[in-house]
Amino acid sequence: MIKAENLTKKFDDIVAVDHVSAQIRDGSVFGLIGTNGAGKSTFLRMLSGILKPDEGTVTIDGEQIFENEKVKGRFFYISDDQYYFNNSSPLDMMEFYSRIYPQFNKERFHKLLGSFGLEARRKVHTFSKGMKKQLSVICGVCANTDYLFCDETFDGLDPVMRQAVKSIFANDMSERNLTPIIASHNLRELEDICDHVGLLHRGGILLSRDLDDMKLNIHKVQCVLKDGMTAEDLTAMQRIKTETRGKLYTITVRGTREEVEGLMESYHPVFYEIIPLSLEEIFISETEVAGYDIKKLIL
Amino acid sequence: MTSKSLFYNLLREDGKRRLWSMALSFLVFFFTFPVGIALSLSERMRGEIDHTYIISTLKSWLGFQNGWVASVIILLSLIMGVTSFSYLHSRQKVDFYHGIPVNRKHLFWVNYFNGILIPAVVYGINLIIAMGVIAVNGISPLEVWKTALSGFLLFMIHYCMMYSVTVISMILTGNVLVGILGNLVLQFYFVCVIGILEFCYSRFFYTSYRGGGNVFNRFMDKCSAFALFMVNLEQLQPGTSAGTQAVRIFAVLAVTVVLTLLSFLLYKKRGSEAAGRAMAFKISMPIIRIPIVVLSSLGGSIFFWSMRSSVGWGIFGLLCGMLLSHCVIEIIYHFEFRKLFSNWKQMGACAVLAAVIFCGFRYDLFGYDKYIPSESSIESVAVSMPDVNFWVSYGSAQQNSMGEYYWDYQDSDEYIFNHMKLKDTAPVLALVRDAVAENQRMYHGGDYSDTWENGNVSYNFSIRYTLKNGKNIYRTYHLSGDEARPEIAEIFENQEFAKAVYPLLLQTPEDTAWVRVSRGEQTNVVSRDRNGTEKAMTDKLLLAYQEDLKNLKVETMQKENPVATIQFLTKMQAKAETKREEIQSSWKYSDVTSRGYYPIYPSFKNTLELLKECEVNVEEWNSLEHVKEINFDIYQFNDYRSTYEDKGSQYLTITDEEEISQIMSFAAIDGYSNMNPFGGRGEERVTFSAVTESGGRRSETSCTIQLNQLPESVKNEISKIKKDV
Amino acid sequence: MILLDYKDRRPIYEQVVEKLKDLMICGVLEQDAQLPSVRALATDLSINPNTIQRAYAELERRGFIYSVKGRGSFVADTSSIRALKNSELKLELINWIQEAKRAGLTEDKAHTWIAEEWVRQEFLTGEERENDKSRESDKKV
Repeated sequence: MIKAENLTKKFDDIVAVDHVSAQIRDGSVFGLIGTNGAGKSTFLRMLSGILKPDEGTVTIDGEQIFENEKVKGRFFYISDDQYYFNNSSPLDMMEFYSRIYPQFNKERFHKLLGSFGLEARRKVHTFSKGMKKQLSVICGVCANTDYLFCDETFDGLDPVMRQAVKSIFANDMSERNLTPIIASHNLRELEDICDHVGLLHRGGILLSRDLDDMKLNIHKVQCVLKDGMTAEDLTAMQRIKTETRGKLYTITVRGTREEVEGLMESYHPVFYEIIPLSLEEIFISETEVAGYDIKKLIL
Repeated sequence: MTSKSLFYNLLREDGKRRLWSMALSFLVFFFTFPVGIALSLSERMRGEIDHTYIISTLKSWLGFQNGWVASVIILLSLIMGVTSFSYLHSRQKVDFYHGIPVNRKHLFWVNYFNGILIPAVVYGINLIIAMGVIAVNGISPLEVWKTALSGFLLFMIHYCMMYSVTVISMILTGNVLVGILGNLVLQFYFVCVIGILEFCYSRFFYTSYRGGGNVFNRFMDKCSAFALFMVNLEQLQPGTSAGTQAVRIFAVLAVTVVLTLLSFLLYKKRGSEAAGRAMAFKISMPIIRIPIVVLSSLGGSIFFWSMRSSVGWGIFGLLCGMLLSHCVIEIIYHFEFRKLFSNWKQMGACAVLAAVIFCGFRYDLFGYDKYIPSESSIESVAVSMPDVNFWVSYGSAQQNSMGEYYWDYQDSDEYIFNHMKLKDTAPVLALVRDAVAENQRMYHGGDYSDTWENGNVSYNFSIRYTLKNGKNIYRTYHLSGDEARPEIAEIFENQEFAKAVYPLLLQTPEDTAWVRVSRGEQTNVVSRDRNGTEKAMTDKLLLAYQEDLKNLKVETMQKENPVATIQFLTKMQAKAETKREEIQSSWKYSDVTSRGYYPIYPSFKNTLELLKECEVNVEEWNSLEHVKEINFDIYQFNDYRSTYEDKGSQYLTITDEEEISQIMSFAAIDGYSNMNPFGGRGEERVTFSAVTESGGRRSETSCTIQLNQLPESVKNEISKIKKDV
Repeated sequence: MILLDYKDRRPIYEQVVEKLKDLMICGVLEQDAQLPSVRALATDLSINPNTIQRAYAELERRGFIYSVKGRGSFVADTSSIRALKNSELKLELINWIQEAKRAGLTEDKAHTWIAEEWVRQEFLTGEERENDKSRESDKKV
C-alpha cells in the first residue's frame, strides 16, 4: 500500500501540493484528476522519489521512497515527457531497463512491440509522440514492477491504443496484482478503469473516493411534482443542485437509488425518473458544493 | 544485482552516451601526439640536426610545458564538466535519472569519474602510440618516457582541478549557459578583485610599491584555479626547487579534493526541481550576486573617476556599475526582464560598500600613505634606489637544454630585497619621513602648487620593511630634490647596502673567467683565464675591484665621473663568448656577454695599478693632450619646433686649447655619467664629440659635460644658438 | 461475450451483472457452465478486473453463480434465475400498468395489445422490431 500523509511541496512561493493525504490499496487503480498546475505531476514525482517532500511523508508499505533504491525498484515511473537516450532504439532502452529492473521481461517486450507495430531497431527520436508514449507504456509494463505511475500517459494515445493498454493493465492486475496510478485530464477515460479517484485542485485534494461509491450515492431525479409543490418542499432529500425548466425539475440528490426512490415515492410526484450521473457531472456537482466553479477547468 | 555491478553497468552505460566526446578527445590527442611527433621527427631527420636537439624538442612537446596541450586540457575540462552534469539541467532527464531505482550517489560518482577517465585514457593511449612513433623513427622511447609520464600526470591533475570547478558550477546552477557563466565567475572573480585592488593601490596610494617584484602577483595563483594552472606551467619545471614543486602539486590536489567533496555535498542537497532554473540553491543567489555587484560598482567608479578625476564622475560610474551588474544578474537569475530591480535594497547596500571602499582608497582612510613603522618594530630594511642600480644587470648566464646561452633575467628589486638586511634603519626612516610628509602635502593636502619645486628633479626609492613579527611591507617613495643628502650617503656607503646592490661583490674568483675593460668604443680583454694561465691576475683584479667598489664614497662621486668600465666575465659568460668567437658572429649571445660592466672611477687606485700591470694604458684616460677638436652638434640645442633648414654648419667646433682643456677637465664619457647618481643629475648636460689624433689616427669619443661647467665663451655661443631658434 | 455500452451511465459492474444475467436466462450460459475468468473477461472488455470481481460477487450474492476455489465461477441453478426474472418482469408490468393508467389507457386496450403482441413472431430483426415499435407508438398517440 502506498500512503501519503500531509504531503506538501512548495516551489518558491507557490504551493504545488498542499498537505495531501491519500491511501492507495494494492491491486486497485487510482486515478488522479486535475488540470495543469493542480499538482498531479508534482504529487506523482514525489511518489517516484524524484522530489523531496517539504512536509509530510509518502511511503510504500511503510518505507520511505526518497533516496531509497530498494523501494524504487518496486515501481516504474512513466513521465509525461519520457526521456530516451540519444540516438537509442527500443532495443537499447530495453537493454538498459532490464539491467535496472531485474524482473524485466524481454520476450514480452518484443511481443508487445510487435503487437503495437513498433520497430525494435528504429531510432526512438524518429517516433511520433504517440508512439513514444506507447513505448513508455511497454517499458513500464515489461518491467514487472508492483506499481506503475502513469503521468498523463493515456492522454496521448489514440482510442484503439487506449483500449489495448487498458487490456494489458487489466491482465497484469489480475495476474500479478499490478497497481497502476494514473494521472490524467480526461475524466471519461478514467471513468471506466479506475477504482478510486482523487481530484486535485491547486495543490489540494478536493475529493478522494471510490468511483463506485460516488456513482451509487448520487443520482439525478427528473420529476414533475404535485400541484402546489416546489423543490423546497422535498425536505427529506439531500439536494445538491436544483434546476427547473417550466414544470420539470432536475434535482441532483445524495443517497442510494433505493433511498431516493423511496423518498420520491413518498412525495407522490406526477412523474419522476432517476438518471445515473456521469463522472463529469458528479465532479461538477460536488465541486460546486465545495465552492469551486470547476466547469471551466475540466475539459 | 549488487550495487557494485550496477555501478560498473552505469559506468558503461554512461560511457556509451559519451561516445562522441571520447571520439572528439581521441582525435585531438591523436593529432597532438602521434601525428605531431611524427611530423616533427620526419622534418628533423631530413635536416640531420643532432640527437640532443631532437630529444629536447620531443621533451618540450611531451612535457608539462606544452601550451597547446594546456589549452586542450582547459577546453576539455569545460566540455567534459558540462556534459557530465548537464542532465541535472533538464527536467526531462532529471525525472528519468531520479525516478529509476539507481542510487543517486552512484550516479554522481559515475558521471564524475567518467569525465576524468575518458580524457585520461585517451591521452594515455595516444602517448603510447606516440612512443611507438618515436621508436619507429629510430629513437629509443626510454629517453623521453619519463618526461611524457610526468607531463601526463601533471596535466591530468590540473585537468582534474579545472574539471572540479566546472562540476561545482554545474551543480550550483540549473541551466547550462548559466553554469558556464558561473564557471567563468568562479575562475576569474578573484583575479579581477586583485586586478582592481592593484589598480586602486597604484592609483590612489602614492607610496604603493611600484617595483618589479610585484606583491599582488603572489596572490594571483592562490585565487583562481586557472591562474594556479598558468603559474604552475611556469613553475613546475626542472629549474624550480623540489620543495616548491611539491607544495604546488599538493595545492592542486587539495583544491581538487575540496571542490569535489563540496560538489558531492551540494549534489546531495540539490533538489530535482532545480533543473531549468538559473540557480539551484536560493541562498547562493545573493552570495554570488553581491560580491559581483560590489566589484562592478567599484570598478565603474574607478573607471570614470580615472578619466576625469571628479567625484561626480566617480558617483556616476558607481551607479553605472551597480545597475548594470545587478540588473543583468537578476535578469539571468529569473530569466525574466521585469525582475531587474528585485532586491534593490541589497543593490543599494552594495553601492554603499563600494563607495566606502572607494573612499577608503581615495582619501586614504586607512593611513596607507602615512604609514611609517616604528623603529622598534623593524627587524631589517632593504632599500632599492633605481638611480643607483638601474645600470646593474641582475640575473645570470645560463645554458638551456639545447646548448644555447641566454640571460636568466632577475628583477632588480627581487635580487636586492633578497640580499639586503640593513639593521641601521635611522637614515632610511629619516628619508621615509620626509617623503611621507612631502607626499601628504602634495597629494593629500590638495595643494598642487609645490609639485615642481627644486627644478623638476626628484628621485624615488623602494623599501621593504621586514618586521619583527615576520611581515614584509613594501613601499615606494618619491622625494623631490637631488640625491645629495647625508642620509643617502650614509645608506650608500653602508657596505651591506653595496653588497646587496652589486652582485659583483658576491662573485667568487672561482667563478670568474676573464676580465675585460672598455672605454668608449674600445674594448679589450685584459686577463684571460685560459687553462689556469693568468688566473692569478684575474683573481687579483677581482678582489682589488671589489675593495675599491665597496669603499667608494659619495663625496668622490660628486667630484668624479667614471673613466672606464670593467667586466668580470663568469665562466658561463666566457663560454658563450668563446662560442661566439668560434662561429665568428659579431652579435650572437651579445645579450649574455655584454652584461656586468661596472664603472672604474679615477680613485680606484688598486684596480688601476693592476690594470697598468696588464699593460692597459690608464694614463691615457686622464690625458687631454690628444684632443684636438671638440664638436657640439647644434641639433641638440634645437627644440622640437625647429625646422630642418640649414643654419650654416651643423657643428659648433672648439679648437682653442685652453677651452678644450677646461672642457675636458669636467667632461665625462657619454653614458658613464649616468652611472653616477651623485654627479649632479639635476644639471643640464650637453653632448659633444672629442676628436683625438694620435699616430695619424683620428678617433672620436662622445662625451658629456654640465652646461654650467663650460667656458663662458662657449656658453655664450650656445645661448646665441638657442635664441636663434 | 458481452458488449458494454459506454454511454450507459450506470456503474459498469451493474451492466456486467445485467448482461451476464441475460445470457444465463437466454440459455447461452447453461447451468454449471464455467464463467470466463475475471482476468480473461477484464482483458477482453478492457476494464478493471476489480469491476468484474465485484460483478461476480454481486451475481454470487444474488444466487446466480457459485464459485469453486481454485477452479472459477459457475452458473447456478437457472430455475431460480428464471424465477427472479419473472418477478422482475412482473414488477415491470406493474410499473407499465401504472404509467398506462396515468396516460389514460383503458384496460381493454391493454388486453388487446397483449393479445396482438403475444402471437407476433419473436425473431424479427432488430430494425424491424424498431420499426414496429415506432408504428405502435404512432398508433398510440
